[in-house]
Amino acid sequence: MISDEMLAAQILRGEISAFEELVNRYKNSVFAIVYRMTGQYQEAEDISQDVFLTVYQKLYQFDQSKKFGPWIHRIAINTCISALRKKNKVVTLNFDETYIQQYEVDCHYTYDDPEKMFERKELRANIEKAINELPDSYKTIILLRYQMDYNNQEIADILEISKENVEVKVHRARKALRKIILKRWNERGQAHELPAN
Amino acid sequence: MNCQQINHYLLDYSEGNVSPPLRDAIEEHLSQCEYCRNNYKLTLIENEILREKIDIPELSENFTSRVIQAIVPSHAYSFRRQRKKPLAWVAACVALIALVGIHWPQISNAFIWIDSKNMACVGQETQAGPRLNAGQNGFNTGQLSGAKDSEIIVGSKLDYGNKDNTNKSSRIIYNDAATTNHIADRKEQKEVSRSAAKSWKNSTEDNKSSAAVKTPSSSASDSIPVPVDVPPEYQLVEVEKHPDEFVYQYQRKTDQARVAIIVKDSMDQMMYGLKTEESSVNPQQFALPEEDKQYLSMADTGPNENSPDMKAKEMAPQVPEERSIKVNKYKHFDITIRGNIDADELTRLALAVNFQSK
Repeated sequence: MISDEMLAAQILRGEISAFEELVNRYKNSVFAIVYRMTGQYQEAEDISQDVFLTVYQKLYQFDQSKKFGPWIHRIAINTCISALRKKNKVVTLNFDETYIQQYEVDCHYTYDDPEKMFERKELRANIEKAINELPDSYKTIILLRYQMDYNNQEIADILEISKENVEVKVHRARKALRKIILKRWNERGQAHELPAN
Repeated sequence: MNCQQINHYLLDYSEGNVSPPLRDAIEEHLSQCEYCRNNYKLTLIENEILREKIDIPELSENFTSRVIQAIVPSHAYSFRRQRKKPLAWVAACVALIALVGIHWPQISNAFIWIDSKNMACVGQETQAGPRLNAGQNGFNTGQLSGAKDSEIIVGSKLDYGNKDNTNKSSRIIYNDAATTNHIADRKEQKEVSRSAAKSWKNSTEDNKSSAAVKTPSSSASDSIPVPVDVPPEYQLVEVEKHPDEFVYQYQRKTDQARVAIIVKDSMDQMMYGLKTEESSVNPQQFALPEEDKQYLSMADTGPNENSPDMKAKEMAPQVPEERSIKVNKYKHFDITIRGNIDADELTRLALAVNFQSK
């Protein structure tokens, strides 16, 4: 199978069929990112289309010595963030400490066995809702790390930050997610005080 | 390690990213603490669910075609690419300016040529030098090369009226007493200006000769070649301007014999190669560097013809030959010298005359 980078070269030579092949390869992953970010099907589809238009227009900027996947997914993320900003949605990608603190896991919470408390399906729904409540900065990290299966270095390349920074952000995103989940549990009266030790 | 410390490392532990000592400490703690054990279970579940992708709905089937349809109207990718790069435009403009600069002499020549139709010729210095080869058998053929970078064809006895004649590559106009009566019907005769033809009308009965000279205008600043170094016994009596040629009429002081030097713009013979009648000349033969001017001999050239200093006297009395120098691929002129003087005198005159380009 011809590589993504070769397809990109063909597109630059004007072969529209190569671009069609590229769309078919990446439409699902791009849509997954956008849908995770927006949570709305139609909006996600429109933004996904914009992503590919942007890819086509900026393809000459693509460094063919690098992998195409991270490049197109970065465009997907940036396009999505731009679209959400236009809709006046609160989108921020900063990871300030002040922003982190509200998502720090409160140690007053404790856990029962989650498998006894929830059905698997219900647990999944809870987590998905919790993801949607995350700030876009955390949501982006979660998406890239777990949905797109990128490693920390690849995420660093996509977001143009250091690998160490990615590791820190993954931790913070997971803590933020956990806090939302525990908060829900607590609201249901299913959380308990942490033992004194 | 207490619960808070364990909680800090649980994510890394769940992904196998902790050192063995830390892993042992965490496992020991988990075995004793139900709270942290449940916390760890939840972390594992989160890991699994976060990696599940089943909640992503399917894209519509026509998504790809919609994208392609949106792309196709602007399919000319290369154009879009250029349009997006202002530097490319800058580079193109610079290249255009450089191109115009390089070829400005030729461009300006074209304008000067147009302008010169309505004004007198004024000479401009050039390294003109006559190149002449006189024919034999009574034909007085000559060829004159004006500038140092010029194209020369030394003619032979080919009658344009009979292309099946001997020399395939000749394109020289000639005539002598034996062929005088046919001149009017010949192709090259049509190129002679009306005035020149008129001037000969009364002088072609006997011993009429002509020398055909082809010379490109060469140097960057030239336009119309103006004859110079004409022997002092010849006096310029008239300059006629025509749309595509200049005719310099000279009169020999001793016997009033008339000589016409006709400078004809040869736009149709521009660019590479010779305009031969029956032989094709590889244009590459003429793509010589300016500084390496040399004569390219044709098939039947003599031994002296390879000399880079092709003096006219070396070749004047020899068998008609064809030689060429490619110097200016942009523009050249056909120069014809005709007169009712004998062949030797015509040859001498052609050898003497140089041209300055204006």
